[in-house]
Amino acid sequence: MKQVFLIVILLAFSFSHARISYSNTAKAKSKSATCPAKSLVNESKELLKPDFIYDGFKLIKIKLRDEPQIRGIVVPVSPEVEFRYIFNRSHLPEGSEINVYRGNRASADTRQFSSVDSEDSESMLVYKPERDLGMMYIEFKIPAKSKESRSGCVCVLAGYRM
Amino acid sequence: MFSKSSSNLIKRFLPFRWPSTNIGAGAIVSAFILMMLYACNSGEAPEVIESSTQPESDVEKEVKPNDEEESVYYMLPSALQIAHIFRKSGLKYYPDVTNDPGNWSKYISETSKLQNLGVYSADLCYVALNKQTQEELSCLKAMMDLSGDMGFSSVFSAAFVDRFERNIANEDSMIVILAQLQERLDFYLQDAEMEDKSTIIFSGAWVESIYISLAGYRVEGDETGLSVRVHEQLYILKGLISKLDAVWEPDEDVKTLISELKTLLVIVEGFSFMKDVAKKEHVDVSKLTISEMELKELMNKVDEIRAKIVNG
Repeated sequence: MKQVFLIVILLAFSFSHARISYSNTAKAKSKSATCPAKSLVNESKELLKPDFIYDGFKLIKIKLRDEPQIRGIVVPVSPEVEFRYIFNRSHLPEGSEINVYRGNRASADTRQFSSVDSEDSESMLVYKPERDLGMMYIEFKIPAKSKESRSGCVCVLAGYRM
Repeated sequence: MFSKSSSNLIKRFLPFRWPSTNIGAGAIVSAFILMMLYACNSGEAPEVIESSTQPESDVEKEVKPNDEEESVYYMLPSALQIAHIFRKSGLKYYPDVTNDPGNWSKYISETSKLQNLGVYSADLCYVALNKQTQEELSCLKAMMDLSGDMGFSSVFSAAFVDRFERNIANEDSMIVILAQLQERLDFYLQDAEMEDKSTIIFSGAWVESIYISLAGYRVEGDETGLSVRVHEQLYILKGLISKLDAVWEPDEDVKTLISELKTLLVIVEGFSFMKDVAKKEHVDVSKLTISEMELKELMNKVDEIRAKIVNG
């Protein structure tokens, strides 16, 4: 009985040590973070299949502030290529808005796409830009911090047809 | 699992005799040792997911301010997309325009290594889209050598290289594999501290792509739709300059490149077709033309920038 007890103590000690050490690693921290990059990209990539190939992704981490904030991405769009952009907003703070404009900044008369036209339940939005855009500006309107809201991130994935 | 001598050694240091159960001393001790090893090494455990990689080393003298503080980003195209655009606009294959893969060992500074990693990635896409299998292998090897030198070797896993070699004759498969290579690099460099490296790599890829495009024009003339390409690339050039301007604590190589690219931008913005672009919201880029003098000026500047990069 004493021997079994010692074995149990030994295993319990080694297991707890393993857990503590693992929880301090960067890898474990990234897994517990609010923005799981790999899964966001992999989920988004599914929407490129079968005709579009991966071109790149941008992950924007968002920390909520006391006042609303705006983030933006400027993207060159070649007329030679048919693009598809996937916005994975599954970790975007609630109440955020995604808009796409022609050119390199937001202006109401150049808006091409808006997340407000989609159902809130849709975590991934697909945008196919017109070929003559030249440059597009993707705007993320983030609301101010509230009791219910949580910081998060948004993933933009680009693909094109070869 | 344990030899007789090691089993005896273990028994010597344990304060009790093992019970004669099915579990056995070896299984319990090995479980203990495995857990301890796991505890000690879990921070450096290799990434086993094929579609992604983890940095082998992440040595940074100072940490760049968090990207949460920035508000506007630039998303630049992959080297494969640029090669694809150029091929669509008529660029053919010309031997000896790419950087010599044997040059990789002469790049000493980190910036030079990163830039030439980009140069070789552009070369790889160019030769792959033109089915030059031997050159594809040489470019891949140069990329692997440079990456290994900088601690990026996990981007090129054995499984990835094997797939590359097995599919080298199949263009469709190679396109998918090159896109996967880009994704592996993107994942590796996604952290805020690594994003500057990604920008510097892209700068090399972009300059090399433009250089190859102009080399094609030297041979083919206007068949390649050069002015269209130049106009398109202007947007990318502006984005690239903005990203390079944001590089944290740039070294002299990066500062020189920024200055050279800004000069290139001024040259292109001075081209006569840019006046038409400025006047109209929608421009038929296929009708844009570029004069001999403008072309010569452009070629000279790109040659100069590219020579500084590939000469190390």
